[in-house]
Amino acid sequence: MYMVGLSVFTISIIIALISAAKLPVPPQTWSDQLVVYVLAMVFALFGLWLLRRVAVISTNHSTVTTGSTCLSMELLQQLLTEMPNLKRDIEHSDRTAILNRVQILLDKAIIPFTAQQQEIFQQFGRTPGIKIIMVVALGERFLNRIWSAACDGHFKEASHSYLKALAAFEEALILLQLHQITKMN
Amino acid sequence: MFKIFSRLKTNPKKYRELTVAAVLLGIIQGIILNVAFAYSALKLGFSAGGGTIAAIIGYVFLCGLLRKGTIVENNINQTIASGINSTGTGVVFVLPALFLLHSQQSNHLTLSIWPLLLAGVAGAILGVILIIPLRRQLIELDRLRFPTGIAIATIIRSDITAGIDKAKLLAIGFILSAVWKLLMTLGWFDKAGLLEDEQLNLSFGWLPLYLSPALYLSPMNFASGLLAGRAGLPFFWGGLLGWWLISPFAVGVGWTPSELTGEQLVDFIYDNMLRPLGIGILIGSALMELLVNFTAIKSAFHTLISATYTTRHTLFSHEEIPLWLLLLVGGIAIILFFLAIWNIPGVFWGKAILVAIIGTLWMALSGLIIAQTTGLTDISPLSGISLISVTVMMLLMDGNVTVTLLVAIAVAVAVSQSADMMQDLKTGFLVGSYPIKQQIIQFSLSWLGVLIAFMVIYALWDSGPGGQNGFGTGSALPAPQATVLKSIVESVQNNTMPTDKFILGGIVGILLGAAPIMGLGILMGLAMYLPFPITLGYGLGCFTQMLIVKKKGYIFSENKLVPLAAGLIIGEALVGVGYSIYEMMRSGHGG
Repeated sequence: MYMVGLSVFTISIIIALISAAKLPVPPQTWSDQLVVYVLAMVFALFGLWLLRRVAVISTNHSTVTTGSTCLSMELLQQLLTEMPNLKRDIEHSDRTAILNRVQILLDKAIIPFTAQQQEIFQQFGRTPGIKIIMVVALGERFLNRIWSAACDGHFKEASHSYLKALAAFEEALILLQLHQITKMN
Repeated sequence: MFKIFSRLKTNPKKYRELTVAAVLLGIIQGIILNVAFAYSALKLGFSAGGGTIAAIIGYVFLCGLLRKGTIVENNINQTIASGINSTGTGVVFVLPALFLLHSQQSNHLTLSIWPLLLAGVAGAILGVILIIPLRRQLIELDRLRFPTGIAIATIIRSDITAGIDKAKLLAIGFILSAVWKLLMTLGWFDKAGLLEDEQLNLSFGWLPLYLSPALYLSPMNFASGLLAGRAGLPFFWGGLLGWWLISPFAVGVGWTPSELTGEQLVDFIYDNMLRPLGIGILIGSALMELLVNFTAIKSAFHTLISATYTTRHTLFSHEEIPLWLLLLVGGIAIILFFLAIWNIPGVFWGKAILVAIIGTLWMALSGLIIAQTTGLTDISPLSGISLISVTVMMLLMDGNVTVTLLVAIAVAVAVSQSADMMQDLKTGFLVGSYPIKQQIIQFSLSWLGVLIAFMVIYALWDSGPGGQNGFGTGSALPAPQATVLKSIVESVQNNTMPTDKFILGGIVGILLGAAPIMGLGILMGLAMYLPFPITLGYGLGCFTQMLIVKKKGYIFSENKLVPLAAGLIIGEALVGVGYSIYEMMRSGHGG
């Protein structure tokens, strides 16, 4: 159904734009292709409805999305498991270790987590999903700040930012777990 | 109220961020860049963002000379510099057109500086205020790339000990791009019919010109596509649709005047069909995306409100400007805007209020459009936005050109600020800056660029014979953008605007904006608005990134392609700026 919807939508939009390109003959306001345009837009609306219907159906397949949400939770748990190692590197003022550790956390946990965004929205709804994504983004920004502070040799700032990043990721995990429980009930 | 300022004070023992050194350096650089690019825009028709230059000079000055600069401090420096510079871009796009029109229609136009200045300042502040609530949506949720923002962050974070591989890739990209741009600018490889004006002719002698068979040989353009990857493909498809479907079809079925051929035919198709359709699609899809993303935008406002009044959300409490300050500053700016409009002779206070409200709403929508297009492609369709501003205002104000261009100045400055603010906040996100510091410093200082740009333009106009016509057709400063805007005003006056295209394109844009593909409408609209050689180069970058991700994985792409692309962007930007300065100096010596 997705391919049908996409094909109908795409072809209709193309036809609509082609017909819209013709210039009206003065003093007319619209060209004589207006009927073609309107028909094409009707079909485009139908194609769009099909596309959005497919999106709704895939949301209702909870076996698929549950897997993705477990992955999000796993990534956060993995991230939180690694955070004490980062804390140790900061306490030892080991600049190189801090920079490498932050990069690994970003590559292995944060970037894959952000790729799960649509699944989180589908699983929990847009508003709770947005809250979770924003909290993780806040933690990501503080990870970036840890990188910058360590690069500049300011380990006290790195330590301060570490606490904020940790708090953000912990809150994100709690939110995920809470919404997961709510959904199961 | 004073707690907010105590958060901004710098404690010497704390991590340097918002410092006197960063602020002063940013202001000085911003003023210099503003003057240079104002001249460049009048001479060559283009200007550039100053963030990359400011970041490099900040690195040298703060870290090298002062020896105590930090990454986040340099980010503040480049935020201020690019903010002051970008307000100048908005002014230079519109104000010269008013001068040119006044010299022809002085019976109908007034040219009083204070209302125009007030409007520009109001636009500078509103551009920042209106886009701030969308930070989370654009940067954290949509995760728009903002290629130049990434490039600047890569410069600011460049540290050889931290990541030698990335530094090498940055340097390689920079050298390749700088050398390439220099060779293209000097025209050493130019060959008539094959390579001219940095465009490679792909017609092979038989493809017709209305297929626009050319490739813009810009490393910066290619790099923007590299950074966007798959997400940027709709931009490419939009270009194909415009030039390889609509254009040949229109010619084939006889929708174009038969007497037109070659470049004239291409110009006809572009000006009368593709460009207005593209603008309509841009606006329609932006409106729709506002609706679709209403939940996230509402969430952002709730976060602003709850951070102000509760301690529950302490995570967010020091991150953003509090809502009361946004409303206060925004309110003052809207009042300034109203006063500017009301001070134009012949404008009744009721109409001034209406225009101020509509103008502000339009600033918000067009700021969103420009921020999204910049975030997706690094391209700002400022002229398209100005065209709509002029069309709507001419209708509302019964053809009053002075008020129309006053509002157009405010809008142009505002949208330049919106795009620049988002770009800077993206950089700030990547280096770990506090958004609140960047936001406050931007709306506190960027309006200075309006004053500087006004002074430059007035000075250059006065430098002409008899204290007039210092720029324009036939002078050493041809002011090409102003000439285009002047012709737009004249076509509105003559009722020859393609409003049917705007409306039909707008409706298509609404459907595209509702499709479950991020940025589809914005990208397709922008692609139809731009010449195909640009979208082709960008599309090649997208395909290259997709191929590399398929072979080597996403992490490889992030670690290798991003610094390389950053270097490509910076190299071309610096050579472009250097060439502008060289042309300025050559003109100063009578060249």
